[in-house]
Amino acid sequence: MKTILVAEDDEMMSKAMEFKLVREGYKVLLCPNGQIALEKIVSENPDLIISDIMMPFVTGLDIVKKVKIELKLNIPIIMLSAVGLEKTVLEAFELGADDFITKPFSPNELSVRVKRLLLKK
Amino acid sequence: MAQVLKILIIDDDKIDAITITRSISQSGIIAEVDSVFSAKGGIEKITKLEYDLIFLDYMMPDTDGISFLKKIRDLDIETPVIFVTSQGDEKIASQAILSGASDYIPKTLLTPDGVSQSIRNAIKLHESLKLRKVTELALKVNSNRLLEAQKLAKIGSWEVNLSNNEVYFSDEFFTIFEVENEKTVSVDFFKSCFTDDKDLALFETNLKHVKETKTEVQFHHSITSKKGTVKYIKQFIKCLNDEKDKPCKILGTIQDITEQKRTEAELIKAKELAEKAVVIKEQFLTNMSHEIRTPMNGIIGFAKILESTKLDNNQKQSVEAIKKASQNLMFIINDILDFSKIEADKMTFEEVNFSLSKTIYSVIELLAQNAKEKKIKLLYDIDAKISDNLIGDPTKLSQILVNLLGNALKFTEKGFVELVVTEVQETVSECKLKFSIIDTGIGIPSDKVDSIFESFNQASNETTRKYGGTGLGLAITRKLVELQGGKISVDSAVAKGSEFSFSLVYKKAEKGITISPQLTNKTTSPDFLKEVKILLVEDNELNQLLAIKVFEKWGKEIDVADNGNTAIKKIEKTAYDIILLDIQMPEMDGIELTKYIRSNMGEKSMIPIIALTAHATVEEERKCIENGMNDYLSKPYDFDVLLNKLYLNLDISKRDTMHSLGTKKEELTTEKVVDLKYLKDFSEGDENFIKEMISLFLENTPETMEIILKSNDNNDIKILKEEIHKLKSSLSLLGMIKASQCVDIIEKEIETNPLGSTRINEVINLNEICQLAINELQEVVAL
Repeated sequence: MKTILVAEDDEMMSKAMEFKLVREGYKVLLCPNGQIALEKIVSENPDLIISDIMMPFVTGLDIVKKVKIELKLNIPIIMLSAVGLEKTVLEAFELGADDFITKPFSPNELSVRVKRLLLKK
Repeated sequence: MAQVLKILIIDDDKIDAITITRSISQSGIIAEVDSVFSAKGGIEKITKLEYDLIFLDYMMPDTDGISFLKKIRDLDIETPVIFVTSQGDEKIASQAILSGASDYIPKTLLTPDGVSQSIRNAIKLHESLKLRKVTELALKVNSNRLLEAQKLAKIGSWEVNLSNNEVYFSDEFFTIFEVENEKTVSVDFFKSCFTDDKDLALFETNLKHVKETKTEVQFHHSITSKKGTVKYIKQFIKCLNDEKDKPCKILGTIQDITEQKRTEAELIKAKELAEKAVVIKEQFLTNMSHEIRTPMNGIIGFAKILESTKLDNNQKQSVEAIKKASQNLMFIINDILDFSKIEADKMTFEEVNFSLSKTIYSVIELLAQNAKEKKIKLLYDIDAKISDNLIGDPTKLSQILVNLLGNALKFTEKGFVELVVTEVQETVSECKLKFSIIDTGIGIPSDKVDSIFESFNQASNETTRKYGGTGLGLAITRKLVELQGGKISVDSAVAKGSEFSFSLVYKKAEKGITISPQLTNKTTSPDFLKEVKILLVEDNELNQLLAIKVFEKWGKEIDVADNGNTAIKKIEKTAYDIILLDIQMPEMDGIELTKYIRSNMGEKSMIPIIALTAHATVEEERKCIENGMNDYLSKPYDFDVLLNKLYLNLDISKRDTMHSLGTKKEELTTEKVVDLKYLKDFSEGDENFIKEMISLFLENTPETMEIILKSNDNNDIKILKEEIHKLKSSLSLLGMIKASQCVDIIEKEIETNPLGSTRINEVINLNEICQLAINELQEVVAL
């Protein structure tokens, strides 16, 4: 069973994703902030990371930077972005993010993008 | 005559003596009769024995009768004496009577009848003489008593007989007027002693008045005595009428009240001193409040400025600590001022329309953060029956509630604090409400319950050390309740909790505009400042700098004048729209400057002026307004309040930019704000998932919105941005399109115009949408 780590500070959003991903047959690790996400990434070594861009203290960009540049881990990362954050998404891509989804996303889009990245891996 | 008369006969002629003796015994008068034959023998007898009557021969060999009579009278012997004359000479007889003899009897008339007649006459005369003497003595005693009484009371009296203008003055009158030669005293002298002409005129008027009305008049005046002493006297005058009811006599008494006046003057002086002391105390409090507020203004103001700059966590904590400590200090100062206001009977209450629920909500809102930090539930419940629009003093109600709820929170370590409002009585026009503040705190020992409302009293000194506070809060609270006609009581059990309750009567208001106290000041946007020219007149550099910084925050530059003269020059040169004016300045103070502007500056004389003062008293506020200022702001001022006051006091034409504000709110319609379609799609038919999502929203949103509103009020952009962003996902999940649009606008504003009015209003709008959503979702969950 593939493990997906979700870094999202909004409880509703993370619960919604968990709901969808569990249905799809994944194990889901919910992290309410970036700090916990970084710790879990190291300890749990998930197969995929979905991270919100805007989080206090440790942001989505911080996570991409840490995973891709500093730890050089080969874990695909999907950025969760809101409308209007296109500039930040580009920044994330430059740092090595693999994909992005704009909120509000359709549940199916989420599942397709997740599947695609896991297959690629 | 039942008793035996003792009679002495002094006669050298023995025959005469025997004749008299025989006549006496024959007359039927019972008498013991002694006879002596010389004046010398007579004296001896008289001094030894007491006689009722003496027969005295006028012609004696050793003396004549008149000399003898004189001699015995000199010996204080009043025995009646009948002269026996031989000549029958009228001259001798009349001489004898004038010398004090009772009668005389010629030798030729020494018959029993004549003697008896003479004896009876003499005795009768003597009796009446004796009686007169007794009466005279009594009269003398009385008059002496009167004299002594007058002397003692320092009351003199005088009389004027109206028919012949005769006057009488009593002895004490002379003493009071220090007159030695009593003959010189007259009514004219009396009048000449009046020190004041007005008093004299009053005296004349009073004389006329008593004559005409028969009433008694009392008045005081000063006199200068003959020896030049100034004295105060109190006069009573009265007119006596004769049998025909015509005025005949005016009586007056004069009392020397110099001593009384002196005491009175001393008392007045003492009273004035006491009053002065009260004024000094008031002045001291005002000054103290000023002296503390000036630096506090700087501390709180700069802490706020600092807070809005970029800070690391450590620095943030320090700033927060400074803010909290200075706010606490302000609470204490305000407590002390309130307390002295109550002590001086200067606390006043408003009668305005207000919304009960809004007032209570703002109190709860204010304390919510506090409760959250202590992890105590803060609950409130208002009986739905109670009409919400009331008339009274909402600010004082808030103060009472904040005090009691604040106390409850302070003394509660876990559990809850609840405010329950119930209606005790209701009439058509009034309602009596009971406010109960229930906590699960440390409680109050039963022997301390009575004393907790006293000033400077907490349940124990230990409590003071642990929980702090001035010990004035409850005393003030109780007074605030009592001054509004209510009563406060407490029911408490140690370690279980306390219930404070009080009842107040409020008039019901017609539906209309209500005021709720602005505990969390709804912010006015500083946008309207753009075109406004502001002059700050302030001598204190710290305060200047603070004001400049505050306005800088609002993107506004202001002009500053150090003193009144500079201010006048600047006003002459520039067309300012509003002036912020410090009241306490050296040379020309704020009030003088206002007077100058109002009366000497022509077209510019009507510039709105807002007083900035560290005197936080109603008195001071009144003084500012009375002296022509438009408004009043006490230091340390809240930035939002300053902004509001600026807005309110500007000429209406100047604040057009703000006009579009209130209109948008009405756009909310009955249209649903939540669309669950997205969530339903997402759930693929899992109802529980939807319910879970909804309850998450219901659980989290109120708290989030509270933070958002607070940061909106405080212009805390960083927190606002974070919280708004977090909310965004939830809003999209619940298909709250309008809310999402709001968020988009807010986010855009935060980037481009973070302190603008659009952002502030959109957040308020967002809150309203979320409240509607909560209602809708609650219904969904209930289904």
